[in-house]
Amino acid sequence: MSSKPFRAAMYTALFAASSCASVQAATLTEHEVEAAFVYHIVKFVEWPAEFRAGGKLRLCIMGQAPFAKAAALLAGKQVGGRAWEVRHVDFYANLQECRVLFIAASESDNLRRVLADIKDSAILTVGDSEGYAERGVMVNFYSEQNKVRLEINTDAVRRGGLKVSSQLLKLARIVNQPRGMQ
Amino acid sequence: MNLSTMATAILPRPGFRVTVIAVALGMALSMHAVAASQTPEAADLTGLSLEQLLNVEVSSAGRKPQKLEETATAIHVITQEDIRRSGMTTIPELLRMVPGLQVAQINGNTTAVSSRGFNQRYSNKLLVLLDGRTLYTPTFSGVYWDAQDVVLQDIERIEIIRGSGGTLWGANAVNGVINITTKSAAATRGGMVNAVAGNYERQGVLRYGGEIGESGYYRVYAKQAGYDNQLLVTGAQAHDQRKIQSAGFRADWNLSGGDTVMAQAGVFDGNSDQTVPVAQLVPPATLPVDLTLTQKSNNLLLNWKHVLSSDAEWSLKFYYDHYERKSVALNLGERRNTSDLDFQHRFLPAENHDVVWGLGYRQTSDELRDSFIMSLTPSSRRDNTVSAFFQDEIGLAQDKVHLIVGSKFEHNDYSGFEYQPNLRLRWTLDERRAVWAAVSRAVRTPTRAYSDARANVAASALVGPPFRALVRIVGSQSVKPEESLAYEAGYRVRASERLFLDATGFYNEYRNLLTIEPGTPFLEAGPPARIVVPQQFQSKASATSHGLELSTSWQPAEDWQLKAAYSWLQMRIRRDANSLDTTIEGKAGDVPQHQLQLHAHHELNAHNNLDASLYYVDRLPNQNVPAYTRVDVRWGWMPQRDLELSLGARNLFDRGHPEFVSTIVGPNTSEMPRSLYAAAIWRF
Repeated sequence: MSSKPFRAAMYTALFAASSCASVQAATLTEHEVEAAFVYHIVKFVEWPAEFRAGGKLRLCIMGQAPFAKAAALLAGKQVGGRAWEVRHVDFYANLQECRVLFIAASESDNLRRVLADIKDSAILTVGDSEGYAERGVMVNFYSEQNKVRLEINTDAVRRGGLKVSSQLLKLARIVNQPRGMQ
Repeated sequence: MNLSTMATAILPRPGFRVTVIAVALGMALSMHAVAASQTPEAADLTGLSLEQLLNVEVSSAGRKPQKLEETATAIHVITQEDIRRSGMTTIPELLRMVPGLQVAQINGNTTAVSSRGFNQRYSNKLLVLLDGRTLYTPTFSGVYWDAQDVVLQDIERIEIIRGSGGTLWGANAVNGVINITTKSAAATRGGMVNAVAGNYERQGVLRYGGEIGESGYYRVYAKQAGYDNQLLVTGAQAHDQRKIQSAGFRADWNLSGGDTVMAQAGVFDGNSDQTVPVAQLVPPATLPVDLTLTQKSNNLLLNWKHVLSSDAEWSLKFYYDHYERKSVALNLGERRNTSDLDFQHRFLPAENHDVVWGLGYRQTSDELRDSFIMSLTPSSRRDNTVSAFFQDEIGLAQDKVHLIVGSKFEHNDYSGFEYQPNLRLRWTLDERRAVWAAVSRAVRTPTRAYSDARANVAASALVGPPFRALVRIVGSQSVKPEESLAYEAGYRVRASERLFLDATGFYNEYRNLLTIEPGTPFLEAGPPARIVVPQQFQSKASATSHGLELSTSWQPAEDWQLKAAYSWLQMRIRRDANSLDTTIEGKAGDVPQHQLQLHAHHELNAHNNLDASLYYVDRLPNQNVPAYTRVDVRWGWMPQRDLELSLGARNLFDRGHPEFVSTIVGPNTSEMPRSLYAAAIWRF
């Protein structure tokens, strides 16, 4: 087969595909909603006094998360007098400066070790993967009839030295860690 | 595109190329009409209150990357965690953990790997890809496993599809596809040193990654490894050591507007020692020769992906691959250059339709040095393959039933036009259970050696001087593509959060299988003069196979995971009435009928873990290879997050066992030994 018609087809396909990019419509993803939730949730969380100071509120994102793109919008925004700062981290990073840690589904295998390592660091852990709350993540998003819902593991919050206001708990499904899984 | 145009495209008839191009063009142009794609920029919803957020409708809830339960194929995924916990250091060894695959070492550097039967040194019905670059060589139609290397810590996942993958992956994916994906450079920042030392191997890896400007990442690596001589069945030392060195880089850029660009390149240099029986015209007629195969290769891959929305994207990929394989002792040398261009586009043309289609072009050219034992006519050849595919996943019955239809259309220089359609159905019974079934047609196209080879494989002095007899395998232009028709069905159940079961059954029919047909002996001028007994490649056998593959994963506690897999395979090969190949039917006995494996992963605490694996592989009746049981154990200790130490033993309870005897002229078999190792990974 001569490559001419093939090349023509390829170019046409490429042209057509790239022109699709300009078609737009407003459809929201769960990640955009989750990012906005994270922005608000910190207002209902109380950190120990020594972690309250400082002008920055660092959100760390561990693993490959579609959530990251939406979360990038938080950078620079102010909440309660502190400015959000967004960092991508991997399993090996120093997490002590993170006040909120989003753990992606890709890190499921490492979850236990990550949680063990930061248990005394007053870090609010967040995820959007099935079973994460039961496994010790403090706030986990799930979906129900195309709407984003949140579940909170109150044991994990307490063990982490944080307090969550009852206003937030009212909106969430409360999860407790099964015995033997701590 | 509707079903009637698809049917037109499937039917092979004159002018089919025009049809394929027209279909592809039609699809390309019709994309202008695609509505409801969404902007790649994220929307800012922080202005909404918590209560308002709870009421926002989202489009893609539940449409996350496909979970295992959501596919209509027999698929298995090896994760980075599986790799880490296995303690294995090469790709073929890692593949042992895949339920239903046949992996058998011939010697310390040669492994036979296949899916659903037909195992041999160059298993020709299994396609292997690394980041989209094919590792399958068209010279002998198989994978030179000893010439492949990856930094195992940089692997994101290895996806193994058992059964036909022809529709998406093209010719040669008849019985399976192995897809190795490495991590994005964004996920490998910082430094890593890996060292492994054992009684049969040593390995050192150095990798460093960082940022390029605002949105780019890179990593560079260098690796050196050596594997020692194993023992022959007689207890004598085999000549089968292997040494490799490799280096390379990968860079990824996440550009604004949904574009990601990836570039990677690698160089490889290796030596594999083998003992091969070689035919010669002076006494003795067959001489075992200790030789060293030297391999050099380099490759470059570029991939540009554009995300249109969470449900639509296209990608354009190009790669160039060069390899050389030489043996000075045999005066053998092979060289090959391959260039490949591939375009893929996925989009939702209408409600309940998820379409992916693509175009591909590959050019490969080779050169083989003429030698007494092996030559190709012509000695250099350039071949082109042009392909197109499409697949539509149609959601029916409130998305409970998914119908997947698609086909690959391919034109190659050996057998011309090939089509490889499939029809798959997935039915989600409820949140936890799904069943699937599929019918697919796939082909293994004739390749260089089957068409153009001339190999003197055995000599005999029986006739007595001055004549010698020489057995010569010759290729044939009339070799047809091997065809398969595969019927599969599977059931998956997530019985609880902690228990997962997967069962697959299959029945396959094959025809035009490759045979070696004896021809009329003739006298060939010398010196010395010889009687040549030609054996020609022909397509004169058919086969059926059926089997069952069961696997389960159970997590009785958060710190304890158990996995088990069993596979059963029954094959029957039949030569055609006009075939004289008396060995072909026995080849059904080149694969084990029963295979069982058990794995236990235990977290002692946050810093210590224990792993144990058991493999049982049934005997190979065609090769008199007995059944064997292998046990591997590993202890991992992570004193701090950036340091991991491990100690392990492979084949713990056995001094050594043979696993496979190459039936085509091939290297001597040595035994899989018991081996002990210590490994360290340090990140900085």
